[in-house]
Amino acid sequence: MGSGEDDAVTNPTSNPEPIPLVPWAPRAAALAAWFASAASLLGLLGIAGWIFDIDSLKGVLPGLATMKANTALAILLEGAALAVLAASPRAMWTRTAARAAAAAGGAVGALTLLEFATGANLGIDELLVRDVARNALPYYAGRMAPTTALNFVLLAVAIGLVEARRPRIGRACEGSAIAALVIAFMSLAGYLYGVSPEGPVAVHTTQMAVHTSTAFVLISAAVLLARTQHGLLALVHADDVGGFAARRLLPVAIGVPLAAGAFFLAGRNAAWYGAEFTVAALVVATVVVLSAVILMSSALLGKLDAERRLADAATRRLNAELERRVSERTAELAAANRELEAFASSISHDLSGPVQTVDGFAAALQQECGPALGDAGLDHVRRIRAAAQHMGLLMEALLELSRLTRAEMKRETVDLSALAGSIAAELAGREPGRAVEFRIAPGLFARGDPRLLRILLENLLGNAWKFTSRAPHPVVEFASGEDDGRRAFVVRDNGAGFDMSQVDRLFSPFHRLHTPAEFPGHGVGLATVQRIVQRHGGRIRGKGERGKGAEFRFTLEGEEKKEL
Amino acid sequence: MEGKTILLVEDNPDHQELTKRALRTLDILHFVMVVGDGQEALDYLLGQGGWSERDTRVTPAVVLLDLKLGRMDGFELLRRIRADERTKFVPVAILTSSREERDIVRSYAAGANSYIRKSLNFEEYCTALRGAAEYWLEVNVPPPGNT
Repeated sequence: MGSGEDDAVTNPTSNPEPIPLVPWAPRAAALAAWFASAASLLGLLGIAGWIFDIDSLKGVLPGLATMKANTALAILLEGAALAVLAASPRAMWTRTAARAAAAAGGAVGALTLLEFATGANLGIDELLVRDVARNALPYYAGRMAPTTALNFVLLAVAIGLVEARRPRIGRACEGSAIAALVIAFMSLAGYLYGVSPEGPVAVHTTQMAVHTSTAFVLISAAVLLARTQHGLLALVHADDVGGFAARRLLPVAIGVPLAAGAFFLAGRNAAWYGAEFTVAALVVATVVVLSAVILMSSALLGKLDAERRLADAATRRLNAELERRVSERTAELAAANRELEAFASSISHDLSGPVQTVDGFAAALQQECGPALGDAGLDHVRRIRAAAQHMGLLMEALLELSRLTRAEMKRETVDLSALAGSIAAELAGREPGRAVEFRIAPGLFARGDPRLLRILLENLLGNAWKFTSRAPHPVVEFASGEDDGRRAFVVRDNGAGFDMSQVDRLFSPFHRLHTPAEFPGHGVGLATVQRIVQRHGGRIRGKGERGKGAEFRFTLEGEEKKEL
Repeated sequence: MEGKTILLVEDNPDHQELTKRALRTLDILHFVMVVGDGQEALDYLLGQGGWSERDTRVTPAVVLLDLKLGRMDGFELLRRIRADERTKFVPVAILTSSREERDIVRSYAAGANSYIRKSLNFEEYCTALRGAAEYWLEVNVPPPGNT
C-alpha cells in the first residue's frame, strides 16, 4: 500500500457515501469479533490436541484429516488478530500487534506453499510437534494441505486490509475473504457429501480438516461482517429494495443447492440411481427452486415499485396543488397591494386637499377677521385648525404605515446595538434637559432591513423615552432575550407603563393607552413596530404595569424561511 | 415687462385661492396666472386655443404644477411642455400634497425642475411657497429668450 493510499484510509472526505443500513447492522461488528474469537478457539483446541495428544482434537473423528500443528497455530494467530481488529481498538500498538499476528499466520501459509511449489522441505512442518499419524498422509508428515496454506495467505491479506475505507482496497480485502470462504466451503461440502479422495483434484482439495474448514468459514465471515458499514454486506444490510432482495435471495441461493445436493446424494448412496441422475436432479431442483424464489421476489419488488410510483404521483399532485395555491395567494397579495397603493394615493391626493383647505381658510380667518371674531371666535378657529392639523398628522402616520407594508425588504446584517446607541443619542440631543440612563447591551446583531429596523427601534426607544418623562430616575434598556426558545430583543423602561387589561389593543393603529394631555402621540407607533416585526417573520409582545414600566420583546427571524 | 409671472396650474378653486394668498405678499411678483386644467395651461404656454392672442415671448418664471388635474394630469402636461421646442426649457415646479415616492420619481422622470410638497399647516405652506417663488423669481437664471 503506497503512502497515497494510506492518506485515503485516514482521510474521511474520500470515503464513499455510506448506504443507509437496517437498524441491526451495527451489531455485525460485534458478531465479527465473536466469529473470529470462535475460530481462534478452534486453533487453540488444535494446539492442545497436539500437546496433550488428544486425537479427537486433532482430527475430530478417526480416519479424517487432522488439523496440523502449524495450521492450529496460524488459525489461532489470524483468528485472534481479526477478533482484536473487529473491536476497532484505539491504541496503535494493538493494531500493529494484530496485523503482525495476521502476517505471521500468512507467512506460515506462504512458506508451506513454497514447499509445495519447489518440492523442498524447509523443516517447518514438524517444527512444533512430530506428526504421529505419518502414514495416513498424502504429503510430508505434519504438512498442511495446499488449500489450507493458500487460505492462510488469502485471510492474512483480508485481515490486513479489513479496516480499508477506499473501495478498491476494500474489494481486494473482501475478494480474498470470499476466495478463502469458497475453498473452505468446498471442503465442508465434501464432508457433508462424504467425498472420497478419488482423482488428483479431490486429493488436494479434501485434505482440509473439518474444524480447520469451520475456522476458515468463521474467519472469512468475520472479515465480511467487520466491513458491514462499507463492504459487500452493506448491500445485504441496506435499507432499500436491493438489501431486501439480497436478504431474501441469498439464504435460498446458498441453502437450497446445499440441501438438494445432500438429498439427491442420499438417494444415490441408497443406489436408487447413478451419478449422472444425481447431477441432473440436483440441477433441475436448483433451477426450479431458484426460479420460483426469483419470480416471487420480482413480483414483490414490482409491487413495491408500483407503490413507490403511486406515492411519486401523489407527491407530484400535491406539488402541483401547492404551486397552484401559491400562485393564487400571490395574485391575491398583488391585488391587495394594488388596493393599498390606490388607498395611499387617495390619501395623498384626495383626502389631504380638503384638510388643507380647512386649515388654510381658518388661518385666513385668523389673520383677516381676528378682531371681529372676538376671543371666543378666535378660540373656535384655533380648535378648527388644531383638529385639521391633527387630521393631517393621522393621515401621514397612516401613509407611513402603508408604506412600511409595501416597501421592498432588504436583508442585511444590522448592528442593533449601534443603531440603538445612535437613536439614544438623537433623543438626548432633542431634549438635552432630560437625564435618561440608557443601558444598551453591546454586540446585538440581526438580519433584516436596516431602514425598517431603524424605524422599529426609533419607535420603541422613542416610546420608552416619552413614557419615562415623569419617572424620577428614568432607565431605558435594550438587551437580548428569548421568546419561546427563539432569540429575542427586549426594550424595557421604568416609565408610565400600561394596564395589562389593555394589552390586546396595544398594537392596533390609532389606539392610545394614554390621553394626549398625559403624553403626546398619534397612536400608530406600536402598530408600525408590529408591522415591521411581522415583515421580518418575527413577533412582538408587550408587558407592562401602570406606573412601573413597560417591556417589549420581539423576534425577527422566527419564520424567515417560510416567507414567500 | 414690469415684474415677472408665475403660472399656477391647479384645479381646486380653494387651493387656487390659498396659493394666491400665500404669494400675495411678494412684491417682486407681477402677477400669478391661474389655470384650472392641463389643457388650458398648454394653450396658455403655447398661445393657442383661447390664448391665441397672447404674446408667447413672455414665458412664466416658473410653472407651479399640481399633479392631480382634470382632463390632462400633471405628468402628461409636463411631458407635453418638455416635448415642445418652445416650452422645453420652462422651469416647472411640482406642487402637490403627495409624498409618494412613486410620484416624486415620475415627476423628475417627466422633467420636473423641483418638487414642492404642500404642507397641511397653512403657515408652513406659505413659508415654503414664498421661499420657492423667491428662488425661481430672483435667484434662478432663466433659459435665454425668457423674459
